[in-house]
Amino acid sequence: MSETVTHYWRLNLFHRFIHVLVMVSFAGAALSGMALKFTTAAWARLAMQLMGGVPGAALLHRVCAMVIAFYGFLHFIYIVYDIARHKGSIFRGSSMLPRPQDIVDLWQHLMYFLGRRPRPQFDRFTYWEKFDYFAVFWGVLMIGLSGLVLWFPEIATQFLPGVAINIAQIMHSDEALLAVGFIFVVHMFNTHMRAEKFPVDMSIFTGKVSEDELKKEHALEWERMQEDPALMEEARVK
Amino acid sequence: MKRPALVWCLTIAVVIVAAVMVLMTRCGQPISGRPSHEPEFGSWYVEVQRYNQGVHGGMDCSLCHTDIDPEEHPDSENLSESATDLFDYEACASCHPQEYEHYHLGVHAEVLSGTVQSEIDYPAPTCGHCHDPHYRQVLSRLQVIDAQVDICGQCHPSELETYLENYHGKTAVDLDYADSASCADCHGSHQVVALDQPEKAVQVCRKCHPDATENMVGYLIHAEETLSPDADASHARESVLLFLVQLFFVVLTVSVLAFFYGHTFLWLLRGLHEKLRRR
Amino acid sequence: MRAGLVGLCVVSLAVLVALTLAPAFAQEPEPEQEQCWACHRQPNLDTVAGVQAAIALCLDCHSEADISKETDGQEIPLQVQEEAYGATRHGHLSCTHCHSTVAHSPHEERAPLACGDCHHNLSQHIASGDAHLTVQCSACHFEPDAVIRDAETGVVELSAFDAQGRALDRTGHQMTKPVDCGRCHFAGNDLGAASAALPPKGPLCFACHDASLALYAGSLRAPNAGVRIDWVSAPALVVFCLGLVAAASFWLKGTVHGKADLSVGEKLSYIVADACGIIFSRRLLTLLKYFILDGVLLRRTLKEGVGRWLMHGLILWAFLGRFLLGISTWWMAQLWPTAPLTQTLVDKNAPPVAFLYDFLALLVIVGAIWALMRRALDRQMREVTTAGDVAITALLGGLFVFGFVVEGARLIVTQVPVELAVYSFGGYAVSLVLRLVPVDWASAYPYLWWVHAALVAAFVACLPFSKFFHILVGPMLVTISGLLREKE
Repeated sequence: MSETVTHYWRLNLFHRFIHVLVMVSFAGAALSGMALKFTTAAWARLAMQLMGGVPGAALLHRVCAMVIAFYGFLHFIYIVYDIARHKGSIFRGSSMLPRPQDIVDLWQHLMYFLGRRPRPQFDRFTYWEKFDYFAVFWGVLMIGLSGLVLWFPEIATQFLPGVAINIAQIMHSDEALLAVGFIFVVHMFNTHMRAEKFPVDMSIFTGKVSEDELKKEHALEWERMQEDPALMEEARVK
Repeated sequence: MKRPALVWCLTIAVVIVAAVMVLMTRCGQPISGRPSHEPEFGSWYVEVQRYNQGVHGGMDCSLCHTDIDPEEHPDSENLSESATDLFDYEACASCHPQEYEHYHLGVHAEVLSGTVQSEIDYPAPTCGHCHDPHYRQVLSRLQVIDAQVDICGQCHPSELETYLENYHGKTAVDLDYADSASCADCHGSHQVVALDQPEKAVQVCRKCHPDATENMVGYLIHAEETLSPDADASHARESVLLFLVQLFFVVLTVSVLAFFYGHTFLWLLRGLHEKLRRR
Repeated sequence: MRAGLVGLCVVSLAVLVALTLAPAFAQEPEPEQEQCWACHRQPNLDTVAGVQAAIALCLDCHSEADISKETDGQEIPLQVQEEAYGATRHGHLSCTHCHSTVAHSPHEERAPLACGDCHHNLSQHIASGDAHLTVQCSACHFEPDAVIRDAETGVVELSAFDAQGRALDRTGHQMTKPVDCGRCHFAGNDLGAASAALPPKGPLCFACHDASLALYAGSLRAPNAGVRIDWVSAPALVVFCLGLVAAASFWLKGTVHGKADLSVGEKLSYIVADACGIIFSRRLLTLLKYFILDGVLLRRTLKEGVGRWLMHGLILWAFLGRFLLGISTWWMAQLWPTAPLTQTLVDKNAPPVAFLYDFLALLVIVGAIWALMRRALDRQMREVTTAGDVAITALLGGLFVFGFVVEGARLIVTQVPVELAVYSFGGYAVSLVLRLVPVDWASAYPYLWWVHAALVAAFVACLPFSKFFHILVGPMLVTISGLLREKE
């Protein structure tokens, strides 16, 4: 990479650290969980043996669950800190919260795929990035809560009826299949397989994006930075 | 440029293979089939050597087959009866009184005597349905679990199916995890109980889950997700509830994945299209 | 002391005697026990003595004149004549070789005759079509010939009664030779067998089905009575080949290696020499690259537009999928006829096969409709579209739609159970509609089959003279032009 290209910060150290935790814990939990979901298949039995049989896989699954609970807790604290830092203006343009414009963006993007429209301009977070984020948010809550019921059925049934365990099983395994099917195909392809990013987009590990990329991918964000030099100065990688 | 392309091709290949493997589990039989438990004891032929090596080896046939009259044998009247119906299991009681007594406390004996009506169109099982009288069998716990799955499942197919979908069945039968619970661990072997009374059931749960609560009995090991309530009359409401929950999540999963797979696919195509245009 | 010594001697003597005699006593067979073993000892069926013992046990009852069983209120004779049985083809076998589950309590046949235990190579049966996968061997090979279809399992098997409802005597163990297909395949049969002599699928069908290479067919009524030309496939293939020759002769008018005044033979030799020069060199890899990228993955079409690529892909890959499925089925049936995978592939009703065939056909139909819509709606496309283009595209879509009609009729006629039929989702949906029409689909089925075959023949015959010629030529041209660009 040549020296003249200016880079801008997109993800801070905390974001990247959390993402590594998500990656590792998700891979471990998905492998041990899917091997239990599809026990009639030969590959699942092999995977189970490699993880040390049923007890080994159960241990791996629960360790990963604890890592997930840990990053969920850290993330919650970070949200509170972030809101406090921005003095409550969580509906600003660079916010991660969904808004009507996202639906318009989605439609225009689809039309662009079919060659009917020019490419829409995105703000700091695009609609698919927002969906990815809230999918994890929803998934961790659904899978996490149902997982707790399955982990501690004796405690859960002190205040829940027994059939709640059955419901928790359905929720846990179906939501997990959705998560695996989404992350390993949609999320991976959207971030790395697109022609302009191929073969890999390193920004999740470095935290930086180049000026060209920022202009193209997040044009509205770039415009805002042009108007506010302080913002620009804060974001630029020195 | 060349090498990352190769890496990605491999990644895509792995994703496709994984998807095919997952799909394969849903359409078709389990890959490693258990040996079918075709009962040998109905056969008219006995292997002398194997018989003599068994626990009953060397015993006179007439010691157990007490009701065969050499003058009348073979009797064409009882040709259509099964081997277990033909045999008088009182004969077992003379040497195995304790097991015989336990058996008579169980629900299978009640069906046999007619005090309880069974919906299952099959005669009540006696000793011979589970135990091979002629040949000795030395089975590990896992083999015993497999034998239970085969034998109990002959008359209780829907219970077998739901057990195999439950974590107890998945781990015990598919993953060879011997510490998991099998049919007889909960329902008993000689003294077979139906476990429809919560106070009895909770005792059974506590064998492995010492802190099990009264509510935990409401967890359906043999859960069915169905809209037709007569399939399992005692849990009709739960079955419908589970069906609706299942339906919700299947619809959610399929629609989200279908939309975003299409979205991503079109995006890839558009990217490639532009790349080709630039050349 | 002495008394003790004598006592000891007596005791030891007694022990000695006892030890000497004990084995003799122990081995002395108890008469009653031996009486049981006489019949109930497991016979060794690999020896003549074992076979004789096994037959003797059965004949103990089955030689009696009055032995019979009652089925549906009729007495069915069960007496077996020992000499007559011994004279049959299978007379040297024990009864339990074939009636493998019958020596049991309860005394009943729990499984069909165990023909496959000895007759391992059943390839000719699989080659004769998957329709016979649910037909028991005995239904064709045994006398007398009354056959029924089991309502529950759908299996075609021997019936206990003849057409007049009289009990049949099958104790003669006589085999049918030669096999008469007319046992099932006659007009008005209630087994779901086709009443007309449908030929095996010919080479035309290879594009989409598991087919045979034969351009002719034996008659079903008398299989050995000579061959008949398949008058649908053969002319279509002739016209198709003429079209190819015409196209090739047009190309050969051009120059080869810059020389125009060469004879056709010389031009051909140049072309063959060039082709060999590419195939037997490293340029083969380049050729493969362009064939896969441009010919199969349609890179150039994607360059023109995403929608255009999708439309082409739907038709091309669905065709390719059907072709690969058909050809691999044919190939597997030649190499491993009894492998479980082959059994699944040749069975049209096997869920994965049924689903794939229907799904791929649906893709072609969607692709054809899309192509027609583009030509109708897009102004630029409308200007270059001729009536011939529309006709051949509609013919392509139409022959696939008609395929679903044939499939639906087949599902009705062969009485495929619903839980299997739903996997052929398209055919099943059509069959629901067809059921509403008061037509005897069993007699209509052969005509539907022939109409579908005729549509395919028309399509193939028109192919070299229409827009769709690019299906054949396109991949070749883009590969060659890729090679030429690479050379520059």
